[in-house]
Amino acid sequence: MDNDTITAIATPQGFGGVGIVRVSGDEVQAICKKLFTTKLKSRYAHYLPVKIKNELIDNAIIIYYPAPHSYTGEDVLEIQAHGGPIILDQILKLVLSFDGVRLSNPGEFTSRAFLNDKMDLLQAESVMDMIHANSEQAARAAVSSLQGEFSKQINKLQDRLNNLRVYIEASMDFPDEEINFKTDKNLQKSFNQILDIFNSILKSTKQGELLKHGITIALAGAPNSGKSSLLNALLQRNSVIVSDIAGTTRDVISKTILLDSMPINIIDTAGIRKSYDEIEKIGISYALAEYKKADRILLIVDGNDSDKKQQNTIKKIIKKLPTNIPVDIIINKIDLSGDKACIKKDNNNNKNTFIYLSAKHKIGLEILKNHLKKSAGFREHEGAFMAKSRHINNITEAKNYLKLAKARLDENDYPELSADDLTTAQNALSKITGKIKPDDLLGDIFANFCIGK
Amino acid sequence: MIYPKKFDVIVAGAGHAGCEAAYASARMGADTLLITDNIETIGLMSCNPAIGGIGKGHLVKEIDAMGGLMGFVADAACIHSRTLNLKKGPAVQATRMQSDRNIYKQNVRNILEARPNLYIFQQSVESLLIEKNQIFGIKTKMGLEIKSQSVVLTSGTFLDGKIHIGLKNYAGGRAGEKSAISLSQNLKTLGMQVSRLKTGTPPRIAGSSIDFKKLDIQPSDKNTPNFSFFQQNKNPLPHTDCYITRTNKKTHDIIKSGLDRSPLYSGVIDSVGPRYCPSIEDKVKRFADRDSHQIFVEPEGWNTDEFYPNGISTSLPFDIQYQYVRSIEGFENAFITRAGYAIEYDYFNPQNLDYSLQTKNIKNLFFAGQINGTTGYEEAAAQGLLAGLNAALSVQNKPPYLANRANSYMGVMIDDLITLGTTEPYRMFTSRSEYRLSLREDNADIRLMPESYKLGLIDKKIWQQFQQKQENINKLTQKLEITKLKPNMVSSLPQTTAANIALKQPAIKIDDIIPFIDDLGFIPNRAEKEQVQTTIKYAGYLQRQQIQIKQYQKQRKAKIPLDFDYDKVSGLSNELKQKLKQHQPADISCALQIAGMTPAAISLLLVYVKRYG
Repeated sequence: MDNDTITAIATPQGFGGVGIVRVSGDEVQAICKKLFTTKLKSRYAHYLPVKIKNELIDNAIIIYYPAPHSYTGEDVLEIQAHGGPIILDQILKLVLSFDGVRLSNPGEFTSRAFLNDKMDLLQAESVMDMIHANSEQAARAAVSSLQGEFSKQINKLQDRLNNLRVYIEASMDFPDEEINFKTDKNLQKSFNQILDIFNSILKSTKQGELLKHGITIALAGAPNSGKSSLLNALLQRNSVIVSDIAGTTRDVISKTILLDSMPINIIDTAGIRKSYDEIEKIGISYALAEYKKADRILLIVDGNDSDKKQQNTIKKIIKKLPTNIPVDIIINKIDLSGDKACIKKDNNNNKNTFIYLSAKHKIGLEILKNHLKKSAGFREHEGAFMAKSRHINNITEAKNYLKLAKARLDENDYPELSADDLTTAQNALSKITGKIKPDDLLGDIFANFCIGK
Repeated sequence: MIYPKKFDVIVAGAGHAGCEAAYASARMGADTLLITDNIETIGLMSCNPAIGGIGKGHLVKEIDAMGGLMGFVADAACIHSRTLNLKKGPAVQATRMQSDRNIYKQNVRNILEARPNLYIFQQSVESLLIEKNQIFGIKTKMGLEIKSQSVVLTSGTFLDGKIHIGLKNYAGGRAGEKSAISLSQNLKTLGMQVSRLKTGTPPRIAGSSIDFKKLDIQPSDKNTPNFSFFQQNKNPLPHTDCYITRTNKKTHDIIKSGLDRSPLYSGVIDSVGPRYCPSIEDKVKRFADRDSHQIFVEPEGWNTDEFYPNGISTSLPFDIQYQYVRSIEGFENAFITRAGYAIEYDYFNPQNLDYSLQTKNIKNLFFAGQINGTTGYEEAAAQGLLAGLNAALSVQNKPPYLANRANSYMGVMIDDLITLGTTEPYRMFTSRSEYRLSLREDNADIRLMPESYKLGLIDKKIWQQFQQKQENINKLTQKLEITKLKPNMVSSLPQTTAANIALKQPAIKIDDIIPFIDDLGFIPNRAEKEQVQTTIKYAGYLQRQQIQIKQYQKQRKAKIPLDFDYDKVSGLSNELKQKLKQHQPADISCALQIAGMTPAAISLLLVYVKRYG
């Protein structure tokens, strides 16, 4: 609907031979001029260097399709680069750094194509299916990243922003009601508190790192339960020392694997147990800190232990783990215990997922990988990454407008400008929650202030 | 009998909506009949004697820019004026005037009587003449049929009005007038969705019985603002003060003691009143922690001694009114001239109207004012103007004029009403507009006059003044761009800077710069200077809003057919389907106003509307 310029990585994420970053919209011509010294010919495959601040990212095939003869019917730029996710991410970020460009919504290129009459009626049906499917995926991905603490904080932010706005709006729409916020110290405090919430959210989402590094999984478990073996099995090479002596892994080890092109950081930590070894103790305190940064924890249990011992171990370790991060329980060493490789839910509380596998013999690894992909919200068109990085953009945008709103009041400028900045901040956050029309602002004013003559 | 003359447009009701409707229609060259129960009450201010205020002042300016009468009549009747929100920014700044009630009314009547193509007739309208879902006139109480091509109905609170004072109630229109019960019945049989609303007024007080020495004085502003952009008020009335007093604990105790006989709290009234204009008993009950509420004591005019105590509207029984009024400082010996009352009245769901204010099910029948669930003179007048204009356009077979959210508060109001409907009396607030910074009082002429002139609502003389103003604004803007300011000329300037850039600093005002402009060739007036100043200072914000406005205009072009089948849209949640069916948004911009709408739902709608629409 809107004519923002949109961009996205158009090829499925991963190590394909070639990856395409597609840009569509009114800003395309301006972007071409800024990116390339050569004037681009229409629909001609140029071979050109793509640079960030004179540093070469890649030599890529560049094609410029002027409107209306393009996929979307708008001006379109396609940058076909070498398909590694890091190169494509860099190019995407470069494009996003230009004014008026934003990440596309799911299905947005195609729906623009349709709306600009680039498709016939038969194709339209499939477009609808796609928008539907994609928005469902996006919704699911959004939900998965909106669970728990994150969602609570976004809602809290919305509420706090709304309170601020109610206050300022009331002072403007009801000037006889003796609301004077300029002398109000609580207002300053409110602004600062909300900025703090913004900062802590941005910190917790590890802004900027996300696209490059994907999600982080921490391995937990008693010593010798097979954490490092699992890491090796996932890495498919023997890079971590694995021995049968309990407590071998003392440092925190971080490795990145790609699951169908999705980067996953795996952190192997020192086994949790009461240790008298001072060096190992340091390792353990690192471990607890690492857990807090993880998106997901795999708790590895020795499947060869008795059921009772297994349950005790699980109970003891879960107690030490952060409560707001999902935990999957891996029952390892099924080659010894004789269990079958499988995945099942906890019979008792249905909270944890149990995966039975053997790291050493690489049995059941596919089950684990599929589970990880699924729970990360990864899907072919758009995964949790795109959703999440959009969220981060939205949060950053909202924060910047909040800062502007505050600066206006600090400079003793007109509060109507602050109100406009606050509205823009609210709109940015609404893009995460998907609620376009905000709550009943006037209703909130009437509920909070005794208004009226 | 059938009246021998057939009119182009009949306007039924001569309140603020009706007067603007008739005036606009006549200015458009349509033969217009204004029919009213009582010629003596044409243009009567039946509630408080004030025009303007936050959001409302904006509407008055827009009415003036569309050639309406409210602005210059209010200027002529002004006995006290204030510019509200002076320190909060030009967009929320608003003009408010106390009017001399009689002079206001007299002026409206004189203007209408002098207007060519406009006829005024006294008679109650009893029913509408309709055939094949098209209106062709009205029938009056004495059985007279008057034919016309269009009808604008502006019946205000008269429709099945019921007045409450304490537990006593009786049928009646505003302040002591008759209620139009049969017309209301007639409309119901036409399949219009009807509901009830409530509003109220305070008791009025004789000035001779008020001890003004005990009240705070609220003086009139020294610089008298004008509502009208180009029609000068040649004979301004002398200004008078307003006063402020407050309720106290004793007042609240008296009010509490009468709640069992309040029609609001005893279940006699169950219709909804405005949340922003609660009765004093409502305020005392809902905000129990406050032991005092402000009362604005407003004069009603030079040739009357009545005062309007704004802030204590009530439907409590008269003995309680009598006691609580006398418990207020300055009112110890107050003599009540008229009792406060609540009035319940019918209104019709405005979702049954289209953007031109024409009813969806009866062609050429237009509704404006309180009948649509709004409150306030300004809201009524703005609708009246648009309905009268569109009634005339439809007679002339021209396309309707459609106000929108991006060009006016009128558009915001109509969009809100026809898309979302209303459950309480709808009043304008600046926070209702998402493009508030662009919709200011000061630029209503720039926003609306070019189109008004094209439509034929604006005289050539005013149009020339408008063009002159535009020319001056452009000249001043250009001069600022080429004027270099040195640091010693204006304080807080670190280096030589172009004047238009320097003006962006909050501390620098245009008056600081004007002396350094060479060869301007004219002396810019306040309106011109402020226009240039705001445009420059707000450039970034206005640009941001322009982008949003562009999107909005595209969304408005994506029309959704009236009979669109939302069940066909797979992937739309049932909840949203229900809401869409209920609201029947006219286009995508309207759909976006519905609570709970999501971006994915909008994409789906767009695609389906294009596929099946």
